[in-house]
Amino acid sequence: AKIMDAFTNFVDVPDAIAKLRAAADDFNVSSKDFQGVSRLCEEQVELLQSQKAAEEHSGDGGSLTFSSVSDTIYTLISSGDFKSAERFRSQFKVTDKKFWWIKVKALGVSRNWEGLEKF
Amino acid sequence: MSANYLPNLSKACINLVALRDTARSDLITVLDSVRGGKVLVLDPQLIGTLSLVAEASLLKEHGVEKIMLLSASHIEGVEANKNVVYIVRAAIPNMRSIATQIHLTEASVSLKYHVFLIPRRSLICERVLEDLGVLDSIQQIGEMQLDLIAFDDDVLSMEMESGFRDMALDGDKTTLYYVTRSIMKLQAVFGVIPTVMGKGSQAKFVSEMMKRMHKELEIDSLNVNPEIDGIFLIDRDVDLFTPMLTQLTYEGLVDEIFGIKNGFVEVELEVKEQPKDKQAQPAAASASTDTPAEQTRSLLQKTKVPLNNSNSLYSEIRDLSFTQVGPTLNKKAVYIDENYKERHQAKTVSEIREFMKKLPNLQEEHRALGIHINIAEKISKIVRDSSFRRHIEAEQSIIAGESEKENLEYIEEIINRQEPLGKVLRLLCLFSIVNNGLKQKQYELFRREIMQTYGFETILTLHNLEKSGLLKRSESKPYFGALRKSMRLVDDKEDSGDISYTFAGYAPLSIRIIQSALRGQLGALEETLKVLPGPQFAFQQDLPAGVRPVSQMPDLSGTMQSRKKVLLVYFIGGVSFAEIAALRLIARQDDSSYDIIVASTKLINGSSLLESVYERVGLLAGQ
Repeated sequence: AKIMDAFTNFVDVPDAIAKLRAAADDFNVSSKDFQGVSRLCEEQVELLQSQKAAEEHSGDGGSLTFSSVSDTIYTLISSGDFKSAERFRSQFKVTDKKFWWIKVKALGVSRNWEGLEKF
Repeated sequence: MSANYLPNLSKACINLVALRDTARSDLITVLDSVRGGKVLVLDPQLIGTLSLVAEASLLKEHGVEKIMLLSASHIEGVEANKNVVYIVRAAIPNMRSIATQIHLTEASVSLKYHVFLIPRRSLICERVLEDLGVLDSIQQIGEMQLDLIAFDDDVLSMEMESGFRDMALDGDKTTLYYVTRSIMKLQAVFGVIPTVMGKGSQAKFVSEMMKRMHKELEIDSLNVNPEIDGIFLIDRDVDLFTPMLTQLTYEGLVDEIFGIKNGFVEVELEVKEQPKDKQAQPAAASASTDTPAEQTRSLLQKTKVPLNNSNSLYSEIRDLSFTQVGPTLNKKAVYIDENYKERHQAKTVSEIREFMKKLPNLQEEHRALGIHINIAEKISKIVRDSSFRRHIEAEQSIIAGESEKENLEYIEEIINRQEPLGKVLRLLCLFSIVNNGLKQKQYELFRREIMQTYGFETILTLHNLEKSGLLKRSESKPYFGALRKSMRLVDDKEDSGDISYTFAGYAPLSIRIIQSALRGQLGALEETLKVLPGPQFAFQQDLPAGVRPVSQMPDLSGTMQSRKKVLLVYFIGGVSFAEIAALRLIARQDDSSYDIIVASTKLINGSSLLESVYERVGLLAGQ
């Protein structure tokens, strides 16, 4: 568990990715639970990479990285980027129920009544 | 630190003023050890607790010219060579702040620094000061033993923020040393406590240490007739069910919703007029330090309300189930109104004088009534909301062992709705504790859902919860069902006069255990309670020759029966307000031959207990 401390003390995105990868390797040992943690670390790497890609795509630097999957989808829907939101949903296997809640909240807050009606 | 807000302890069943006086004299000794005028720098965590010990005027009498809160900025407006006295908890971050402050200040002015550590000098702290290069600038490093503080006439607390975490997570036994030391101090003031009972491994550890210190300190030589007849030590670990539930007494809800700190709650209240007399001002504990100029008239004003038995209205309503608070406040309003009307009926001079005598009291009650109606309305708005009700229903059905599937779905739903993480974790922990763990699959599902919603860092918090036993993966059979039956934990008959009213039908397990101990049934329950962590024990301490418990002596009127025994219940790891309410009920009940005093390392609720084991690193730390 001490390794976890290391990878929360990152400097920037590439650094965090490197530390997470190292942690994922460390956890990838015999114990079943550790393997679970290892997978979670890898998933986090994927998340960071996808967030970075989405930021570059929209030219909106730093608004997504290090936020959770839910928050990322929320931000994307709020800014009207439904396509990317859908991509995150399928990539990280977000349950339908959760996606629904995030969508309602995001559309409600950004007063996108049209979007709400459509869906 | 306002003079008017030391709790009035005169109604206590033992002389708690004496206890407070020892803390006061410890503080004065510290202050007097530095001659002349001085600037006092206090740990922000301590200012509230210290305000329960001493008022500002006392500090002034002992040379304190200015009080500041510890921060890492430089000291301004102080003439050269002035004494600066730090009173802070022995914690490394505090040492860092002190060092930064000294460095920054030394650039412009040279002052004399004195550092006093609570609850004792620690080598690590001195090392940190040395490493940061300020040890030579400090004239002296001393310690101040501040442990149990009287919060009320029946509540003592050490208010150690990290007590539960230190023990549950880090296996740190220092807290247990402080607990033992606080009990030894109580015995020095109130005499040897004849009966010692307890449940839990930490409790056991403390009781062993008590025996040892008993010999070392030669406590027998103190010729004090014991005022406390028994002590019951109980680990928070023994009952983690109760704090995970939402407290439903008035005081409990005030704590759950607004948070009670050091006997005060800070709420925004509607203020109709600028209060004129001094007592009515929102006297903040920090009022004497550096509050900005009196706030201009605004409709909503942040007000610090003292919550203790000194106020008779509050002592009447604090432990009521919230549903009864409204009607009681109503009755009180009618009563006060009628009393005011007496003024018109008063005709003779002596009648008017009688009325005038009652007036200050009446006005005080009137003011308190206004405040509590205001607070109760705020709570009522929240409690009536359907989402609050749904949450309580989920808690109760978890406790009752019903509809497991729906409850898990509900937890998933509140995650999906991104409700506060604390709320989610508290319910998840409740589920885990009641069912003696989550199934591996459930655990992985929730871990994933929580991380996906609240961020990757929560993995560390989940890990800590698991380490401290609040969250588990099931390895063995649940035992809560059996306990629920044998300890009668669920009793939803209304008005049954049972302690279960505190959680609308659930009787706190911790208090059921104490109840059995008072009825002398603890031995019989040993088998039943074996499923709970830690051993159960009971022994007698030898009393010094020639003394005997006060409860066995005839009181002034000469009747033997009228004096109740005193039981001290010591929660190691924290106690909640609803549990205190339940203990008060037990002590009040007709067949009780005991007065009860509650002591704890900290006053807690489920959220603050969980928060104490959160991991604040990386991005979370900044929040």
